[in-house]
Amino acid sequence: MKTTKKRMTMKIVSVMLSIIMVVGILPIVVSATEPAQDMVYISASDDANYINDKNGSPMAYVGVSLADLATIDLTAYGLGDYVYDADGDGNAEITALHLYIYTHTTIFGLDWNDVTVTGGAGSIYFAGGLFGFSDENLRYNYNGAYPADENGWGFTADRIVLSAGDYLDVAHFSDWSFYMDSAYGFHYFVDGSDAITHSYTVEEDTALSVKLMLVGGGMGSGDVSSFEAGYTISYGSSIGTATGTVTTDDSGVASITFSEAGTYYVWCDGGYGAEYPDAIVSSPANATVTVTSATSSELETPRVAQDVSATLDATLAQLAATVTAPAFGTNAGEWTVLCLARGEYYAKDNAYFADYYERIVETVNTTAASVNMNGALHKNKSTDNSRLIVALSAIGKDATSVGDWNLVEAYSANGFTWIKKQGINGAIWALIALDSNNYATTDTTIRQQCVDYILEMQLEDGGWTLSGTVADPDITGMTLQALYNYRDQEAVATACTEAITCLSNMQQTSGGFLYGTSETSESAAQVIVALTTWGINPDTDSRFVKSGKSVVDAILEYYVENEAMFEHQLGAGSNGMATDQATYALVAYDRFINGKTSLYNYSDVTFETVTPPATTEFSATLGLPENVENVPGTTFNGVVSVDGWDNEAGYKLIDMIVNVPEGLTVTGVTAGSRLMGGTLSYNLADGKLRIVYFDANANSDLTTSGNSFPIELFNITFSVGSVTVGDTFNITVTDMSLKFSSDSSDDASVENIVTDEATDSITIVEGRTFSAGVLYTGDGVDLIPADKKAVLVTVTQLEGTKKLTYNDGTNTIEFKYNAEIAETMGIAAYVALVDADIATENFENAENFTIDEADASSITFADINGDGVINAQDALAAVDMWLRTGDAPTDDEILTANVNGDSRIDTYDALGIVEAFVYDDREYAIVTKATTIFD
Amino acid sequence: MAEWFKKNKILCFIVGGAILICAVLLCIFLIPRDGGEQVGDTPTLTVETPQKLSISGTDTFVLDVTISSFGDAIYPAASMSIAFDASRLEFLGVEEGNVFIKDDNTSGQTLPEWSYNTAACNESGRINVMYLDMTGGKNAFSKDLLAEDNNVVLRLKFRLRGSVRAGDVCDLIVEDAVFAASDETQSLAMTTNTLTMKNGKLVIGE
Repeated sequence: MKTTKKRMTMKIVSVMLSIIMVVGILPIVVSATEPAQDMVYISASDDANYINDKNGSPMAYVGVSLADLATIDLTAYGLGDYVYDADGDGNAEITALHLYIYTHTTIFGLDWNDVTVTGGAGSIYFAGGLFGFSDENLRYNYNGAYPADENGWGFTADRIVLSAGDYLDVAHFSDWSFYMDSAYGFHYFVDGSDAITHSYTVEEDTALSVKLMLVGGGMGSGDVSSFEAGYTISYGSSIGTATGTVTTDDSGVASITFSEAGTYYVWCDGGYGAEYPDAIVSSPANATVTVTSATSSELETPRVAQDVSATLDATLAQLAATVTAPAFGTNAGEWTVLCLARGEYYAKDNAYFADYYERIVETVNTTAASVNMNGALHKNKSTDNSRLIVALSAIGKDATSVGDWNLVEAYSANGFTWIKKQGINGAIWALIALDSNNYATTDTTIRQQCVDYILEMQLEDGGWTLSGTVADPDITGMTLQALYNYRDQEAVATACTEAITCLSNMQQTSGGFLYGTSETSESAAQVIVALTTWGINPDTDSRFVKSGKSVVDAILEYYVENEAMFEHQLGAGSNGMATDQATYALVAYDRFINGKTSLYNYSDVTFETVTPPATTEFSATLGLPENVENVPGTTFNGVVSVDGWDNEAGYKLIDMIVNVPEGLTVTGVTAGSRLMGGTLSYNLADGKLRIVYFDANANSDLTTSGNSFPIELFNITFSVGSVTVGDTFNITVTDMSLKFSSDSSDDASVENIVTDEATDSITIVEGRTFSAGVLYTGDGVDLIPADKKAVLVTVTQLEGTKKLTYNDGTNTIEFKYNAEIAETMGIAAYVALVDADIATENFENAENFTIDEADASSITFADINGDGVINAQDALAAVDMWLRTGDAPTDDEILTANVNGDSRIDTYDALGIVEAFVYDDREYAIVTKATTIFD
Repeated sequence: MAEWFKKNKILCFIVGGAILICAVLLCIFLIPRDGGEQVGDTPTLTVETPQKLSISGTDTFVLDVTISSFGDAIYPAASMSIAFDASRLEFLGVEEGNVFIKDDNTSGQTLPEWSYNTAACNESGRINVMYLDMTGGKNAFSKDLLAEDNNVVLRLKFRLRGSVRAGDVCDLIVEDAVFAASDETQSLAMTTNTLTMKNGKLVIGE
């Protein structure tokens, strides 16, 4: 009978609760005064104790970033009806419903589909499943009170608009008696002025007075507060594991003394009812206790977060004034753009950013094409992509479509091996870049590979470093920035907790940090960015204030006021990189204390919609010698090259037509050594040479080796027939295509190659003639002087490898025979590195040359040491040249080392040698380039 | 003269025997081995010859390539070209050995990442494999990371093709190899006889 009565009572109360929630429709907007951060907090309990999240941590005043909540789309959860625009500005508010969803799915790792939601907008009701609770016996308090209007009607979760610092307490009771018990309520700790607090600070060995309050009532009856007398309070290093207990006195006060500095917790369990002594009817409570050491405490005074806006404004103005045209690069480039964008100095649509973007598009188109690694801007440095993505995302540009390239795809296409080439730095910045706009990656494992790699690299002291076994603050700070978005992973959370402690331990009494043996502004900058990312105030958090100095104090010491710049080290003078890093650190701090999203959290940025880039088109070229002698039977070669190739495309066949003019015939066609997968067929009929290359037996894919372009596909040997001196013969390539299948009705089965430039001509000459062209001119940056150029001279009617000497009366130059170009073009070919101011036409004047019967010296591309074998010794020589570890290279070494034919010798050439070696071909880009310089 | 030999028969046997023993010893130590290089203190790169392979019981197999020693230099680059009969063997790739390089990132050691292309190797019948330390020496081979029982530079993985018959012999011939130092005079290279090599041989049984 008693049970029946109790059930009846419960049903009545349940109906009342539903009515209250349905009727309660008036909105409230409450802004917290402390702390002014980006975080809101939530607790969740089941009867007497807090419940644990998916990682086993108690849900006691857990912070959640408003920025994270802003990413939750209610519509995606089928809750579109509950979208709430309180102020009618067209923007949906972030409500407690967002916090519930985030907590349920991310913190608890539960499926939202298991939550039963009823009620309309303004009266949402969770009938079961929320946070894993099986029923609706839930009560909640908002900022320590029942959220009600003046009439006592409650606000439901979809109408509780959250601001920074707000906190929600959700309590589940397994027994419905709480509705009728006078001991019902939420427990809170209060400070000396009886205001609810979740933190206490006390000096070690000094008694701390904690006070416990119960906030009851609510639901139309108003809140009723009372202090808990005779109540047990536990304390310890983690909630739930008590190292001791105390009991409150008649005023609700208990005294605890901590003997060692550190972070502790006080908490109480939920309590039993007065009228229903078998039922838990009140919630648990908790607060953090920061115990400071006696020595540091004596020196410290309570800190108030300082305002750095004046310094920041001056520095941003200085950057804008001096870096007027930022471009791709670490100096006066992406970091400056990041400062000005995230510091909100310029609006996103300002011409400053638009002009920068134009320059970037040009650079990306050139660089990515040159590197030719699916949008990579450097063969070994993924951070070039990452740095640019971070800057572009900051100004609302989508990095998946920059000019002709997708900068994000480079990570998937080139894999973690490419990212790892820069060690932990590559992984850190890959994560920051990819998360800046939550970019999707075709290889969905890339992010986790980075996370796992970083975790593997954690040192015993809890931090990270580029090299060695002791943490450095820069890398530790950057790692914390990168891992923040992965903190839901238990291993990450643990690692980052250790890392934050490590940083605290590394902090100097100046507030700054040592990099090696010196304090630097850059170290302080990375720590500030890391702490603000994690919601830690770098200016007031006791863990980061040493001898009264915070890391914010420290970085401001490097400020050179009359220049509005920062120094790298104290007294070292202002420095561009130090200024960039210090400025974005101040931006991060300023954003933090003003409740904005963190430096690399771009959820506040509106991104431009981009249209996918058009399919990349390949273009073909035809290279011929300039002159051919008039002797019937003389042969010369034409080289057909393309400027790109997609090994993943699944090409099955390539075909083309070459228009061969009357007077010429074709004696042979060979496939380029880098083209693989097929066999060659050709036939000349009616002046048209038809070439087809495919694998008739296995229908295998056609691929090419190496990454340098253009790439030679076919080499056609022409033979001169009956011709007249002065005749010019035009040879053109047409109808060149790559086919995927035999289905001619399917437009997608073919990819046409642009042949507009695949035309060239030869002129019939009499006797010996000389043609000259420039292979490259040095740019003075990497080893090839700007006053030097490499000249190719081809000579008709010259058999063998006779010695060729140039003498114009001023300059005497011995040319080197090059068999690779000679064989490719079908004509004697010589190269030399000459003064750039010698007119190229001079090398076409036969009177300037003498030919000896003796054999010429020769060079072989990539055989840098001239031992007749191309192997690791030559690749290392290219690296060592670039590293300047030896003497300046000789002309012959420059000619042999510059295998990609650009204006410098660098690691591209070393990699070119490696690629040609492992593919067992010896065709370098410089050879293919040579065939086209007479166009 | 004949009378002298008769009188000193025992002495003649002793001297003759000594000359024969010396000749045998000379043959053992001085006659060139496989590939025509002399084996002595010079570091040797060896393609290890395995036991006879069973044509029916062999799916894939791995051949170790070992190095006997290094000089005093550090070697930031290495390469080797090893010819094989691609009509009877399919090269499947390179597996890690146990000769470490320095790891500048961790101040420890790591295994090198060799560059090679399986398709190109099978097309040409030549395994071209190269390691290049782009830092010029921070991640290099050196003798302090070489142990007597950890001397496998890399492992070559193969599969027998269907054309193989019992009794076939497949040679693996090192055409070129170098452990390159920045100072080329310190390099170990076949071209300068500062690195000798021993070729491998596969014997196919039933």
